[in-house]
Amino acid sequence: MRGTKKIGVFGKVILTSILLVMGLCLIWFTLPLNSENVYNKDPELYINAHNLITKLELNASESIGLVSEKVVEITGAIKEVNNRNNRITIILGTGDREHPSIICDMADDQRDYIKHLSANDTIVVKGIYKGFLKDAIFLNCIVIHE
Amino acid sequence: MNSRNRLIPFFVFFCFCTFAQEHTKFIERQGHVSFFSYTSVENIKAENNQVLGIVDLQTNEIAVSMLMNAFIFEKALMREHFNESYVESDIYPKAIFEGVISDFDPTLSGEQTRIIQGNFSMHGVTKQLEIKTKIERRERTYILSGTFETIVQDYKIKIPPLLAGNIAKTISVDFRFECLPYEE
Repeated sequence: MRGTKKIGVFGKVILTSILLVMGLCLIWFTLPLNSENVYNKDPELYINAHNLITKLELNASESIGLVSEKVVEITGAIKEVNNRNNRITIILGTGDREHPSIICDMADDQRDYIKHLSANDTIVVKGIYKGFLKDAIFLNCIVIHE
Repeated sequence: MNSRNRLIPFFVFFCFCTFAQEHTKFIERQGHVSFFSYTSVENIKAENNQVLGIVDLQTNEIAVSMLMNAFIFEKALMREHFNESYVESDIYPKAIFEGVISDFDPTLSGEQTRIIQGNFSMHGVTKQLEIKTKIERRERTYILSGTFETIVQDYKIKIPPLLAGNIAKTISVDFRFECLPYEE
């Protein structure tokens, strides 16, 4: 009986460990593919394309709280919609100049919303700010209003 | 061949010369860089589709800049580990390559394979690289593409022993840039 009890405790430890590993595996393999979902996140900044670029060019982005990884809602006119690198990208213009502009890499499920959009349409998009090279870069963008 | 047809090649050459003189810098704002890590435990792939590349045809210099936090991964956890633990993208937000294309003749049409020698800086470490690159001229566009391998340890990226088996020691990097005339 004593031996059986010892095996029982040992067995419980093994069983718990196996369940723990299986649980972790389950979490790992069922994690969403689109890892940075912005649907349920409220924007931390609302801004139009022209003001956004002006602040970035003046190195004043932090004065409006624009830092990397923030969810931002931008209003702007479409300069171009393209399919480069098998991604759907909306480029928002800043009005008076050709560049810089705002590159919005769209979330995978946005293809249908984008079909009927064309250059010069004014839209509102929400996305995660990643940084500024020659243009401002946003990922996981979704169309809020057309 | 009548005299009009004979003039066509000269006209094309003249147009190209005029075009090349007007535009010495070419830019790509949506360049593609991806990396692959193959191990027996798991394969990790990530891609960045907003890589900036500028080529100067007068000096044959090339500069590439990319945001490390703009890499897209299959899994959220992979992205988190990459940004927070490995490349520390909050401290080192950009990776930069500056180099020179050896023996590159931008006036040649079609494909050329050339070596680009330069310095690649990532995670606070700068390493010299030689990258074999295919360069193709298509009308107004220069397309640069290639693959190279890089060693993770060279960039002082610390991988916890528990995860060492999940990440390859040598990472394969693919790139493709379609550079258009740069209107400054």
